[in-house]
Amino acid sequence: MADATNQGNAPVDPVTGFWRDMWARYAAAAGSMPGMGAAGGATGDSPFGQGAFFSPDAMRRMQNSYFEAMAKYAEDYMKTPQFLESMKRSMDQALAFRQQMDGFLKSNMASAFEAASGGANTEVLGAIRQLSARIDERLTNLEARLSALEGAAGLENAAAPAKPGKRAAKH
Amino acid sequence: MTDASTGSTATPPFGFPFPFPFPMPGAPGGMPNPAAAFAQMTEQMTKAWQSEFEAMTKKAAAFPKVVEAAMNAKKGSTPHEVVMSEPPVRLLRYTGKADKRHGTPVLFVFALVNRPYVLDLLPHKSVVRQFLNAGFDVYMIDWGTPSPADATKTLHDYVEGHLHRAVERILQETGSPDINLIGYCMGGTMSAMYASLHRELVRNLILMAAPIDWSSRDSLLLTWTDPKHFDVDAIVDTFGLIPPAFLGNSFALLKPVANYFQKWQGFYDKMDDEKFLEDFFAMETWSNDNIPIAGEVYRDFVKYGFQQNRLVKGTFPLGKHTINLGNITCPVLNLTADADHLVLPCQSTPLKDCVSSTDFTEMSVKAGHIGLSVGSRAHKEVWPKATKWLSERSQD
Repeated sequence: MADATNQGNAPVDPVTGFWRDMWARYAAAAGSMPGMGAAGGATGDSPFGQGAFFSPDAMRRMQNSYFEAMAKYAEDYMKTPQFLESMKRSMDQALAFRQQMDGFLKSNMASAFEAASGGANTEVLGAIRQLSARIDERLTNLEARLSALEGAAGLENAAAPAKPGKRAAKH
Repeated sequence: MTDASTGSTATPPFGFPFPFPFPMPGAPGGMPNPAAAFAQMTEQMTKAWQSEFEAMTKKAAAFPKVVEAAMNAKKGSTPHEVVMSEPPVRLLRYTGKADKRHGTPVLFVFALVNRPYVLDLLPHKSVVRQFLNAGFDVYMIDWGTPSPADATKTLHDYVEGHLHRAVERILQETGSPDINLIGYCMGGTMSAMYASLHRELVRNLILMAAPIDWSSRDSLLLTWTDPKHFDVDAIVDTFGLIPPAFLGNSFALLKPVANYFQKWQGFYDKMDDEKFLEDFFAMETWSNDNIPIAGEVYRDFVKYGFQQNRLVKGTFPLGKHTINLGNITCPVLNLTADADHLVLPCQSTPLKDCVSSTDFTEMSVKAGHIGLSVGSRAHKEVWPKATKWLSERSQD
């Protein structure tokens, strides 16, 4: 018993830990079944007791125990530095591959076929977007100046009731 | 020695490090009879196989129904019309049979990473219907599927652009001076940002599992997005639009056993139940209907939210603004899910200390992130209370 306690407290590697935990859960699930464990043994029959050790319910409990143990260890593993490091490495490789592919398609394929590449499209779209942002900014400034001029000319009262958009602009 | 029937177990043999449930030699039950044990085991195994065979036969017979349910999976259940379109963004207005009793309309703002019809998945699991039946005029923003042309859109473009124009349109259409805003997940964060910038337009704010504080390191998602392991700039610069598979698989990997094993085990167990099949395929259709997210939005959200936790610090930049949640003074209802693994409750509850609202209510439900909108417990316990909360605070 003392050995078992010591073993229970000793640090274990994740794989051993997983199997130990899973078996503990199995055992707990089996022990909680009606007619199992000492109750079965008390009748002197068998380790399979009065209850149904192979019943669907029993199997489901065992299965759930396995899933619970797996879920716990998967989550623990995904927080380890080893996993995070490997995640970073594989992501870096995937990004490098994608960049190489994009570069190849942009420089070689696009010019060979005299076609626009995805990268070129993105650049054009980016330029259009910047232009649109600048126009938007200019219009906003013009709107503000117009409002100021209207206010100065005393036209504000004569204007129609403010639309929600106008109210919304005051923040 | 202990008695397994009382909840404990017999002494482990050979120094086994885990409890052993069977009676051991020398235990009160004595040595088992091997012949009896074998006979009993054989009998039980035969029964188990018979039972399993019967179940398998029933499931095989149900296969045509499974195919039919999969083919007829629905994407939303309540009729609606499109009242505004700024491709790919659309503003939907739901048409219900219930009388409109409240003058203040409701606008749902969903996250940018999935489709919003999860809020109206099936008639008996529709948050939209809960509000329609409570007498509200209900609108929802469908962000649509961004194209490469949308890759450079920022969070500012979504909040101050699309969202703001949708609010303006609703106010114009209904004649109401303000709106009730309901934001879910990332849509909740965006709604809080909007409410802080336009407090005169937001009458009430309801947030559903909305991340506000990213300081907790308990979440796996927060561990993964730590700048030491996750270079968001490299990802955005390479992809432009963040691929839906990348997002979908990342979320699924947060609960690998549940998503890749237990879900299918549960499906096998209940595949002869037609009601279950309808729910299952509606949910599967939604969870696989992932959309890409504009790279710049992703960069803003990951960098300023996940990695720098700027929202609670009052330094989250949005265009030329800096978000100060303290500007929010309207009544707030903050809904969280106890078993949420995507947005932990501790990421939402700090909102209370950030806003200036004197009318602040918190509600929690025993469900997961999506269970908050489709869970039967949420529809029974939370949504009737939430609609009542909003009714009491809306214009008649």
